[in-house]
Amino acid sequence: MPGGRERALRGRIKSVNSTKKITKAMELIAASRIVKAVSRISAARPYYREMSALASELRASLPGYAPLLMGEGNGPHAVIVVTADRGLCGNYNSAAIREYERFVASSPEPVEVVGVGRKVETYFKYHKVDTVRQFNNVTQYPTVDLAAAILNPLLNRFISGELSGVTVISSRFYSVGVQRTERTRLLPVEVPDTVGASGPDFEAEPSIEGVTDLVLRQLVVAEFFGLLLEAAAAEHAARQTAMKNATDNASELVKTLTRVMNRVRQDAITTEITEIVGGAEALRKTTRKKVGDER
Amino acid sequence: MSEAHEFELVVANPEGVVFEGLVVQLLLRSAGGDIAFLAGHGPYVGEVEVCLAVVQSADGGSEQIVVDGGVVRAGGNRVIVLARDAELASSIEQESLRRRRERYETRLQELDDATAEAELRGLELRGALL
Repeated sequence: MPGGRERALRGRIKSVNSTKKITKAMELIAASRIVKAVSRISAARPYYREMSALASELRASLPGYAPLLMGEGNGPHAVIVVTADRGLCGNYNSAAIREYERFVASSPEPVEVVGVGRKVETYFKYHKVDTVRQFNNVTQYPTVDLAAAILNPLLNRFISGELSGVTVISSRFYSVGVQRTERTRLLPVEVPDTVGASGPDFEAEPSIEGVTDLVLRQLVVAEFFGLLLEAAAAEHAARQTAMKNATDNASELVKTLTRVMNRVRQDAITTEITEIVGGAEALRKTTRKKVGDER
Repeated sequence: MSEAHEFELVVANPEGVVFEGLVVQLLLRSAGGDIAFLAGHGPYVGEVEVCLAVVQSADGGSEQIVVDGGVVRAGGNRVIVLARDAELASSIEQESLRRRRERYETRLQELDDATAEAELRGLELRGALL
């Protein structure tokens, strides 16, 4: 029945349009969140820059000193995998998981895993990967407290020689259009001693060694916090792109379905006209025949 | 151009810059005790304890900043305090203090003794300022 098909198409168009409204709203929400996330990244930069410069200066002042966080341990390597808590953000989550798989495949040492985000938690559960810790609800609004809570146990274990290093797998935010999943090695800390001083040229309290260790500790937490901020911005950017594509696809689908629906309706009209014409013609022939017979 | 008796002060925490400007004096508590910074202070780097830093500007005004530990670096007529956390005393509110206290209580199990003590001192300091 042609009317039934047209009704079904009309229902489908209505459904696609309501989905389109949702994806459009999600796109706009993601766009507004990117702005906030980027401003948090910019605000956090001066601290990290100054801390990094201070670490270089202290390192250059003490060429013979091996700070706690620059040593090499013998244990497994810890990897922190950062994903989102939700989906609908393109390949944002799967890219981090793929990078983790590559990391494990290429790592010469055993790997310990710390998960951040529900998506990677689901993956680890499904693949029966034992995780040291799992943290959720972090990337929506990362804070320094959360960064320290994730990292401090690993820092302590690294200092005590239980871990050989710590690497973070997360998305780096370069621009709204460009985000890349990358590995960042947090430990052992790499600080370039570019200042090149031959010895300490400043007074230090309680000691240069003590301050150096403190600075490196704060530097690592700040770096990890920065990575979480970038991951949050990258997630919003990925979601915006995914939702924009979904909205565009929905518009395209509505166009196609409308065209099909119009054709079906036109076909139905044409069929009806043909039937009427055919019926009228048959009626005329029957009437003529009757009149001829009567004569 | 800064006046001869002024120096540049930056107080920052990992979230951003809390205070930035030309001042005549900074008073805070370092690992070695209370320390005052004036223009032309010699090169210095030190650990900062949880304290109420007092900043005095050239016009006679002063600003109080809660510093939750960190590092201070002086040199080149510039002092920078890189705090674990820092907050202008004037911006502390009952509601933010309540949230902070809740966060501290939630995380208490995870914190090591030194961090827990530092956080508690920061809370007490903020509470005393309200």
